[in-house]
Amino acid sequence: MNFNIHDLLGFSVTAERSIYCRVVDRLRLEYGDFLDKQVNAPRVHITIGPVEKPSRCYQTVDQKYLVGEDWLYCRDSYKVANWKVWFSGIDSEAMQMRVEPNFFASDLIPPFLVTPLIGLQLLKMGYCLGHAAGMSKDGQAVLLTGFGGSGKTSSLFTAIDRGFGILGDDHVILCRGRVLSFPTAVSLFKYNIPAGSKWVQRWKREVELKELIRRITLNYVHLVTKASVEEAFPGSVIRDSSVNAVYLIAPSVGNHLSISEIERSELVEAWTQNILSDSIHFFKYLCAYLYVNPSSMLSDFIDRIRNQLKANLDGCNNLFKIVFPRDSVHGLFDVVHDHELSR
Amino acid sequence: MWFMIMNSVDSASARKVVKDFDIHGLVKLRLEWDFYRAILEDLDLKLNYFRVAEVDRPDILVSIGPFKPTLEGCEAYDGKYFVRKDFVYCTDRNFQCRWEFQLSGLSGSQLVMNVHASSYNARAALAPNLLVHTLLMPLLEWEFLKRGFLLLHSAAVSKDGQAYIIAGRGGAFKTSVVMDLVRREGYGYMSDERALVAPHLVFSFPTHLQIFAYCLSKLSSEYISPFDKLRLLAYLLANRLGKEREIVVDSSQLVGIAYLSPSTEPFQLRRLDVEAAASKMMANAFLDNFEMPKIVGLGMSPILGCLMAYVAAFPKSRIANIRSEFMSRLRQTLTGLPIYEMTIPLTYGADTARFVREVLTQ
Repeated sequence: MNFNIHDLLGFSVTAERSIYCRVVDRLRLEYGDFLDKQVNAPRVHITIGPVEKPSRCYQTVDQKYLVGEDWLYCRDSYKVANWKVWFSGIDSEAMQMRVEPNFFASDLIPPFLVTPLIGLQLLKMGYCLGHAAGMSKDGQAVLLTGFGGSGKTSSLFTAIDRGFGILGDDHVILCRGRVLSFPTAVSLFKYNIPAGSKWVQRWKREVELKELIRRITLNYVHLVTKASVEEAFPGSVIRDSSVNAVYLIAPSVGNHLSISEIERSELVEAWTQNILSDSIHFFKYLCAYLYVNPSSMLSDFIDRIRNQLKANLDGCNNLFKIVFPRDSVHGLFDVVHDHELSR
Repeated sequence: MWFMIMNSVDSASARKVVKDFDIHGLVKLRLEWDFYRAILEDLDLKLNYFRVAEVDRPDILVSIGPFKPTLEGCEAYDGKYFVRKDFVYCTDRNFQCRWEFQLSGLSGSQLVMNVHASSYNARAALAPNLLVHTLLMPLLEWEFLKRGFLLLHSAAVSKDGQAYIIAGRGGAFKTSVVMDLVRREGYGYMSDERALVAPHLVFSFPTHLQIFAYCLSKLSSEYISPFDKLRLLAYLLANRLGKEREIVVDSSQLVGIAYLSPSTEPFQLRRLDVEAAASKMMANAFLDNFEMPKIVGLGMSPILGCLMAYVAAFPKSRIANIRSEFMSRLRQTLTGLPIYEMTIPLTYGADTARFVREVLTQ
């Protein structure tokens, strides 16, 4: 499978055995919008297949990560999911990743490994994969950035009803004052689908069932329902746009609601933390690599995220922080929309 | 069953046990425990080298037991971290335990941490203890950094008033190397886990001193067999910290840094420049956030989550600059020192010990 992300970055996926078809389906669902027949010189090559513990020269870190020159091997787990992963070409232009997930891990591969890997490659190229929801109307995009559960996905439903197109549910690519779509699959939970919404009818039963499982297992098994943007909201994907405004969402406890302008440096710092927190498990691998190879060009990756966010947001001067009651996230986008119209 | 017992004791606990610690007169710490947990606490010997009878105005006050957080006016991040000016609250649960903690007075003169955990099974009964200690270390790091000191994840030894820092991730044989240097070369012990460092100066920071001293005198290596563990437990229950204090050297002049890197390659000695050493130390500090006790069931330190949430909410606060403050202090400390990386084999043996000894004596 080949994917072409806005002609900026190509990536290819190979599955070595048919038992990994679940993972392949999952990747197709996640990045289906970028599917292409072939890509020239892919910057990311992903192989899903057995991963052997390397026998080459390496150093061990925490008895868990094996790190060599330009590569890292690790066995990792999250709850019942576990996977073996091997990255190489960390300091080169093109990176390879080999991963061997167990049955439960296939849903975690895109958010834990693939999306952050694409983000890292974009970072090396001077762009930025921002953790934000992006909506656009008449070529003018509004980005909503915030931590998990701050209402990014809920806002999509309202935005579509108000005639907006979608650039991305969780991530968008910031590229020199413009924003490019990164429409990964929408994460549907019981709490982020507005009551009575005409969208995503197909998935509602599944969502209800998973909510039931979550309650029975006291939050331990918190399954997500994934739907591709194109299927969930047909014809709504917009590929690129200029950035008109960025809103930093701060969900509040209680009824506090306010919108205020925020300085560029403050927004960038908050957004940087947001990106870190979103991909923290990936950055953990990167840090193990940096511990062994401290002179790597990625050793200042946090500063790099910060600087590139700043540089790629250049020209957008409408930066706001919106404090919004976290119990009523479904009303969030209407407030943003009204604010946009009145500006 | 266990859960019910724990909860019934919770409501009945009226008596508090207070323990005070004074770390080199720099940071004063007070732990307040519920009565029943004090029994567990006696097994927990991490900081008892710094135990004092009483401190006035502790810089960090840790109160363990049920508390009621007021979250009004907080911003919520990830549905787990609740943040307002100078205040963070965090809660989570898994199959084994449910826990919550709050930090208040983040920029004031006293940092107060409330921790509460209830466990669903006997194995997790240690969770409150483990949780306190995993939460406490980053707070101590922050308090020391505010005073211009670095609390680094590394061992330290001293001889003739000259201290060496021996850094390495988990499994890099720091403890074995320190044991060996103390036993055979007559080095003074400062720490095998954390070192308190200022430019040109190292202060001791022995954690689990009793356990270290026991292993030093009774066992040949840092690895304890199940049988030895029982003997150690009996020893700890029967003895208080006493003559072990004598092996500790309290402060020394910092003269060199060595990183231990277990590797498939043969013995090697490589000189590192300040920038590489600093970025190694930074990565080291970051990776600490992912080394969590298994019982608590966490992949990542909740303090890191709190930090990211707090910085997102208050990008201009002093805490937002913690990384750059750490880095600049680190560069200042490392400048002018000889810094080496020692590549050692993946298994520890007599030749590793000899190699390290030779390097340090040169």
